[in-house]
Amino acid sequence: MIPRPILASLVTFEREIRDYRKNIFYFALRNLIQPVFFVLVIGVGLGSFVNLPGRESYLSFMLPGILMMSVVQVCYQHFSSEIWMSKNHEGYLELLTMTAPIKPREAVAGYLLTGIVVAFFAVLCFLLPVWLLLPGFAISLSALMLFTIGLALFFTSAGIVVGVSVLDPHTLTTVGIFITMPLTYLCGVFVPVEMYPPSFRLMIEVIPLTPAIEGLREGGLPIAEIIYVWCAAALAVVAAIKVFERNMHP
Amino acid sequence: MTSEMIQVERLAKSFGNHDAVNGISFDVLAGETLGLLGPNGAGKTTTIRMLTGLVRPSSGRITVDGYDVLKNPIEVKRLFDISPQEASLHPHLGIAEDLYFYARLRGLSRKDAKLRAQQTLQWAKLESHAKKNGHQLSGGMQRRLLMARALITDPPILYLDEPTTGLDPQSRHALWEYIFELKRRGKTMILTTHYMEEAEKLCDRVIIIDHGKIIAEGSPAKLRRGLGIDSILTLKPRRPFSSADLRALKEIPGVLDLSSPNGSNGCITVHLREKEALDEIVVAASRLAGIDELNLTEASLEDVFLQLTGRGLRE
Repeated sequence: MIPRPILASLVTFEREIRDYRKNIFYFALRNLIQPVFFVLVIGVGLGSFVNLPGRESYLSFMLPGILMMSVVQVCYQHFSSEIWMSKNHEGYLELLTMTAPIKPREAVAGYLLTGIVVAFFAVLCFLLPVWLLLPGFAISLSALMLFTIGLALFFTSAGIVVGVSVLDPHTLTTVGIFITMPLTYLCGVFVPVEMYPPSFRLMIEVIPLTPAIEGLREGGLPIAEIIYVWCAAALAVVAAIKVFERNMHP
Repeated sequence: MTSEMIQVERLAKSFGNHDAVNGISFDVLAGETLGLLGPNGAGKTTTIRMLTGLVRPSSGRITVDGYDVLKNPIEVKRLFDISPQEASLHPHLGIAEDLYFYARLRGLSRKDAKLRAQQTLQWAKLESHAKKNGHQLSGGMQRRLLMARALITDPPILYLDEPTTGLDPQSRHALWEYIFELKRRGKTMILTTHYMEEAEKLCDRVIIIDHGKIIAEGSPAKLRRGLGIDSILTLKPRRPFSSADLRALKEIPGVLDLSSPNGSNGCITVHLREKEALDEIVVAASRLAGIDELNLTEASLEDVFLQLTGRGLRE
């Protein structure tokens, strides 16, 4: 007999995954399109003019960053838009918390589990073609798994907070741009963070995406970075639960 | 109908400076259908949201079958379901899947949830639409689906929030039949509506809310009797009545009130305390100005509301 809170989270997870599976081709395409363009245009194209001291190639430098960035984008965008739509347009989320014997934190747990699966799917969508085309590309799988889970929790939580708090669609789009754009271009995806002035670098390294990218580039199991990302994820999850509860029970 | 299933005590909710619900108290007996009536913005939906635990009251207390809505939300949620005002259907799933997951969230096993989803679609006569998304259905079908979904675990209490708003008369009457069936099955129901006919037909008792306060409470018949009006006569004269004619008509025994609103083309509305006054009025009006048209109706809840607030329910 599964306890009710766990069952409630699992049913939410199952429903979200069923929904995701219905559009899996579309999601796979969405997961691939931006990373592939970055790899082709910046990695292969511009990268051929770049020489990073101590690095094998610019492409091998960039790939861990693209992997982690795709986790961030997929989790944030999927949940901010899904939850915003369910809450503000369809009224479904309200009904869910209004009538079903499920607590908001249990619903959030279901979304977070979905976020982890969605993140791994994004990683696979990108990694499989990379392994096919660049057989020599090596990455620490244990670090990749742990960073993927940590970032999925952090940015799914961010998506939940924004999706449940923002009221109008223009704000949702604007907030999305302000979150994903700086992360993409500043957190060390395309350039080493050592290039930034120390104070700016400190700010950038607070964002869990940066230590995740740097940790993945290091190889092995970068314990300090993993712990940092997971702690940040834990704080984000607590914030998501609080904001979700407050917004669904005004 | 013996025990109190729902108890609401001094319930209030403010949004900023606006008092949406202002200290209302009422009980609902087991098996009773209670109507919450009022114009848009009267506080009906906020009350329903507080009953479900979705909105936290600013003050007051709600208990459902002895459970406090805020302290025991899970126990309370097992006792009720709702047919909400909005479509509230899953944005992407088919309606059979939507019902399945709805039943699963309410604690049914996979096998039972699948079975109940099928039965619910049959009950709502929507089996042939099982794979469609809820938003691809017509308004009438959506309302039927919402009503059916509210019954998926057969809870003892149902909240029906404007269940027939926006429906054509045929769909509305079909939905009324569903609600009658539920009444026969002994469900405790709270129905919000601004359709008087609906409240009169379906509700055992009615609470009229305006500006977040209860302004009248009782059975539809009792509320009408409380007005002191038996029937309402609308009369269009052949020639306009003079002021003296109107005074003479008003003095006829059994006439409670007489009005000739501006822009009514000389028509008069006469509130009759008893039908016996009708003969005398018709004879007098015919003698004074002639009669082109006349219409006699029974006093309705709409008239009760007009009398109490000076405005119509849909204003």
